[in-house]
Amino acid sequence: MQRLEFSYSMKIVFSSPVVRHCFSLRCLPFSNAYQRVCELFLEVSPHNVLTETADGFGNRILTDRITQEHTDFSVYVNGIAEVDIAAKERETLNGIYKYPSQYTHCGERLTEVTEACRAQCAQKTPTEIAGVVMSELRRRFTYQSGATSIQTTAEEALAGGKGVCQDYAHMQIAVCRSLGVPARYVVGMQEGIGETHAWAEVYDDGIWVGIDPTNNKWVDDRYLTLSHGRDFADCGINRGLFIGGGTQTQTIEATVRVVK
Amino acid sequence: MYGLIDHKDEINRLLSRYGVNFGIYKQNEFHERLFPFDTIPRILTKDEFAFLERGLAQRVLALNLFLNDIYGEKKVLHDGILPEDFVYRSTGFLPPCEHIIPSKRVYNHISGIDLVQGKDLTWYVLEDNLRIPSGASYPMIARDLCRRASPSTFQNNAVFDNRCYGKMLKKVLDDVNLGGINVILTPGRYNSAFFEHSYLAEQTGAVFAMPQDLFVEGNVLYYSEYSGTRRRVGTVYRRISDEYLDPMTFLPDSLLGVPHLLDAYRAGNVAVVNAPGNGVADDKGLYYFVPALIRYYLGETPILENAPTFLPYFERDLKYVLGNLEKLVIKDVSESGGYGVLFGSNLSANERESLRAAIHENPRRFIAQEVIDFKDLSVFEDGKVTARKADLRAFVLYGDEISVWKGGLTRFAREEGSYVVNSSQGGGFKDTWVLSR
Amino acid sequence: MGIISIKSTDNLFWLGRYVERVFTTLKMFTECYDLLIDSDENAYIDFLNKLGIPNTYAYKQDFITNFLFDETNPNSVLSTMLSAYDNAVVMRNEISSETMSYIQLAVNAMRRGKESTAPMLKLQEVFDCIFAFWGSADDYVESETTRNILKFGRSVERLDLYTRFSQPPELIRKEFSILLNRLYKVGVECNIAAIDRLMKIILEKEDFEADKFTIQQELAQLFLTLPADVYTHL
Repeated sequence: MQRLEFSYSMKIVFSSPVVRHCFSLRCLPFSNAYQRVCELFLEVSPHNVLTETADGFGNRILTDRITQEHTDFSVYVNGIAEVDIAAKERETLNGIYKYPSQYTHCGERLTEVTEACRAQCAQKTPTEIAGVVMSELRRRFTYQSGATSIQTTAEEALAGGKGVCQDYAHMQIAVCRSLGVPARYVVGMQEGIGETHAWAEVYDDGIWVGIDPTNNKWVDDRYLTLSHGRDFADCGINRGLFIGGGTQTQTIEATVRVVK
Repeated sequence: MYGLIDHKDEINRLLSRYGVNFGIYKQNEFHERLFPFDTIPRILTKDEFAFLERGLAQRVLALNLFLNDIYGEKKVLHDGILPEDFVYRSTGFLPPCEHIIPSKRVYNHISGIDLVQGKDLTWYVLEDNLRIPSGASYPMIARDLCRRASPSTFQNNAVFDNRCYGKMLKKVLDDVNLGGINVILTPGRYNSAFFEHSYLAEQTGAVFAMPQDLFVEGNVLYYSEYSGTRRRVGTVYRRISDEYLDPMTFLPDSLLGVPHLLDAYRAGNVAVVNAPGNGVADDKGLYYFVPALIRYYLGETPILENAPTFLPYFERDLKYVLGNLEKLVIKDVSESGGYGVLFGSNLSANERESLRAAIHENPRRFIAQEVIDFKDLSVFEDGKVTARKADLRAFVLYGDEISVWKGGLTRFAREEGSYVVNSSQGGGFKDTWVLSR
Repeated sequence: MGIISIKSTDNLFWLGRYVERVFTTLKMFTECYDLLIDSDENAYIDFLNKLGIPNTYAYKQDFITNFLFDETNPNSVLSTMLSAYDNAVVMRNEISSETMSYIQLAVNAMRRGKESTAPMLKLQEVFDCIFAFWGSADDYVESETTRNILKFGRSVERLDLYTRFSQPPELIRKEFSILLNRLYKVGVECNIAAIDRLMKIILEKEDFEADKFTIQQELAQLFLTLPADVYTHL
């Protein structure tokens, strides 16, 4: 078990004022069998009647609609959570995680990876299969920020050979699913990196096991989960819609620190 | 009845006066087309309708139970009644709608069930439309004009008055209302069914809204009035399709939707008619399983038959379909409105070969049906009575209870021998009489 | 009903204006047409000047046909009628199918006029439809607010055209007092400062030939119309 102090801050500055700004934020860690939020401080500015709700995947969302003109929009979350992945409980599987989604359709290249993995996967457990997929991907893909965008699909990312955590997670999910291992996308924070992170989970005998292909490791108690879904599209930390705005500059900082 | 035939042109002129048309896009330009009306009605006897009524209510009840199940416990999958591919690969299945419990547990408030009658007088269901079925407004207004044109026809025949549809619809909107006004939400006047949207607003007394008139705050849907006050909305009968409904959840660049509408719906603060996510139940692939769903959920024998259908997804059916293309009609499950429908007999050898390859490649994408020899209906065309293929869209409303509208939209093909009755492809329409004795 | 959005009030206002624009323009056109028959070959130039429409017509007959029926020219009477239709078609539930039908009939009559060898005769039908439209609005439009906004639009348009065509000051004053009357009833926001300035001119001056342009400008900003919204997404 680890006790984590976390903070997430996001600020957007608009070059000209915006009005009728609607947003959905998935930036609150949830409490469940293995992750317990002990303290939480939240500040959203400007805000009107901030509402907490849930989505179809069980994530916490904060929503609001700001009618007044504003040029700055900021979100600050901080708190303490206890994480103990050994305490994960069995969950029933939603079949949707077996099937390709918007970002995880397999084209030629992913199919080729799938076949390369399949040969090594006979008699293996889903978790072991996920490990095989992770090492196959690492041989074909290198980390480089800026090489892909938030619109890049798994297949496109693999074709380019470079990308970020989102791409690693998408590829991991795509290949696992086509090998028959249910997999889902996770957004959260990890100790020490300064920004939000994305990884994957695979379903093994009722347990969702976290795997972080970007860092070539299994998820441990130093990861804090914010949301999960089929892929990136279901897990947007900040989804918004507004009138006006001109250009936007966004700064994000996310920290996780182990505390006693 | 002759009174109706004699006045066909005048009645059509009156329809044009009331703007009874539908929009189509031709070379990216919006055009309004009149919907040609043939005054000879389709007549359903009291007994025939009673039979259809039972069958339709049964089907709609089962489909609603299916929707409750599939966005909830999914017993139908665990019990192996339905292969899960037909849910999870369906574009109509919307995971963001999981575990939402709609007002009164009703998903398909308005179902448009398309039927045809074979030459042997057997009725077959061709399609269930559970998303935004349109068409009820046309026979309603046509009836009004026919009664003016030939009152004696209606004095001499005991025909149920179909103009009660507005009241029936209002009752459904009221039944599921979660506190507030009823609103009909149209994407705008360039939608093909805009006439219907505005006419139904007039008939139900619901407030007629464009997307920009609505907003969500604190998980509550409001209509913003000119005076600056907001009115809470209890039911929204939206004529905008799921993917455009809420840009915060679905297509992010949809300008037709209302941001956060799905959140308000999930919170149980507004009834959305029909419920988002119904597409999973009216998918052409799922259609094959509806009789099984009726048996499974109701423990009853289906009253209405499906058209004989083959599912290439199953090995046994695939073989038959590939070997008998020329006898079958092949439908692409992802298309609607009469598109993606191919008659094997009309295809050249080459076309048949490439269709065969496409089915082989992706069997889940297609269904195949035997061509039903429809019973022809009489149509008055160019001064004489001639025969045309026609279907029937029956409307089933579901609020506190299920009721089948004593009327319906009969669409007919304009060309002799053609099976294509869709209005977007030039089809016309007829009134549907349900006799009360 | 009485529950009405900003966009709907805008549609009602412009429906009233466009219907009236067709009506009064056609009346003035008929007078101009009369002049064109036997005396002044160029009477139409003066007519267009008054309306502030550029003279894009080659000769008399070109003007007669195209000013009435050219759908590609937004200044034509048919285009104006179609603009009325555009605003009516989204308001069916407020104004009723019955009232709406007269707009459709007027459009149909204009279209038939275009094909007719005696278009001036067909225009009579357009007048008939417009009269019927207003009669139907009185009878079938349930909401008083709706009726008032429609008629407010009509008054604004009428004042604009009457000043353009130098109608007698007492006629203009009468229409203005009708407008003021409506204003209290409408219960919608409008530009009070502009009303004050209009009152200064119309109620206090003998005649307002010299103030025509000012009047038109003030009328144009009486009722606040909507800006178009464009959403951006993150």
